[in-house]
Amino acid sequence: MERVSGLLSWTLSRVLWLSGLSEPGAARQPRIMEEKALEVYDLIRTIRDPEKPNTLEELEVVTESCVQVQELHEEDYLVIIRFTPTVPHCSLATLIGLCLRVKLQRCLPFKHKLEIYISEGTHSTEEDINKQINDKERVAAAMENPNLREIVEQCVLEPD
Amino acid sequence: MKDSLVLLGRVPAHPDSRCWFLAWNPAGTLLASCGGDRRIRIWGTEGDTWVCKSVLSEGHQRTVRKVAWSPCGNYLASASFDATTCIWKKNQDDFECVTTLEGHENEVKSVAWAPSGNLLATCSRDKSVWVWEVDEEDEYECVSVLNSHTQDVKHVVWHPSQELLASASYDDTVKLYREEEDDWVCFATLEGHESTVWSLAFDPSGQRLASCSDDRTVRIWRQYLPGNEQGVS
Repeated sequence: MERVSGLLSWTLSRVLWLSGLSEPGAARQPRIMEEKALEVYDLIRTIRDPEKPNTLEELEVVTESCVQVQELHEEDYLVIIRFTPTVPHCSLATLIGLCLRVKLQRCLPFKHKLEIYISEGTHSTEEDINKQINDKERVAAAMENPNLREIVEQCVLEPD
Repeated sequence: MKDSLVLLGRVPAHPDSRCWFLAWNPAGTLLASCGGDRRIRIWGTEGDTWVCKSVLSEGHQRTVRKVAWSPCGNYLASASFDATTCIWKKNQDDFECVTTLEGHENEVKSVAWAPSGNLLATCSRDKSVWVWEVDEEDEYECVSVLNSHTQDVKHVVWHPSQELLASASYDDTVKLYREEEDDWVCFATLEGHESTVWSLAFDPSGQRLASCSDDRTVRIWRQYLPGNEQGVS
């Protein structure tokens, strides 16, 4: 059903564009981006906090409005997440960033690029953390550390 | 579209993992790829198709991040997250690991051969750049450990005709090194990028250096010798 409605809206936007009535992609922008953002949020809200027995949603580390999706090319999206760590502890914030990245890499069905940021003003070393969690080489190397990997796996495990 | 690229083939190179880097051999007949599966694969053509000629496993315990062919084409160096650099010797279609360079404290991010074939450079998240000398008996010796960068060093590349080395780093700078009175020194730092500098390339004449960064820019650098006005194009 989703495929059909996707195809319909694509066809509609092409018709509008060809007839000069709208910019390519503009017709499908707001609704599809919102849907995609919700898809992302649905995956990240159940991630468990590394320290506390709660989900990121319960602790308000992530909220629906913290996810933004933009279209880069056809069927390729930019996902931006701004999360609010519960404590100013550097390593925990980095760990949460890692969990977000891993969960989406594995479970998000559409092609995407991901940028993760600590929401402004919530951390003293936010620039340092943002740089690390968006460095794909550093993230990949970190995930090869068995201890770190184990913690991340526990946090992203889907509840039964 | 005139002058566009035509896709000749697509191969699943590194099962279930990333392919991190590719390098053509000097003759242009082989392509080496390396990846998250800890392996290196050598590709060649058989008629119209690309086939895997060799799989180099047993060399590294973690992701292989970069590979580099020696100027003569008989050796391949591989840099890995396991903190080592392997040197492989080509014997027809087979490759044998002849030595493993150790010393970096953590992930090796890049390896590069000098055009003379006698020098090798490696760099790592441990913030250092190492220069190695190779002799005729395939013996490798570290001749310098350069600690100029303040962060993770992402890439190293040699000048095409001089014994001059360039490195790119997470500290947002590019540094240049050469041998002065028997010691390797950093003689210049290129500042300007506003984020991690990921890669570098000299043009064939060696007069220009291109750098690319996480700040979404590519910058071209040119050397101005003493007496000329300083500038960056």
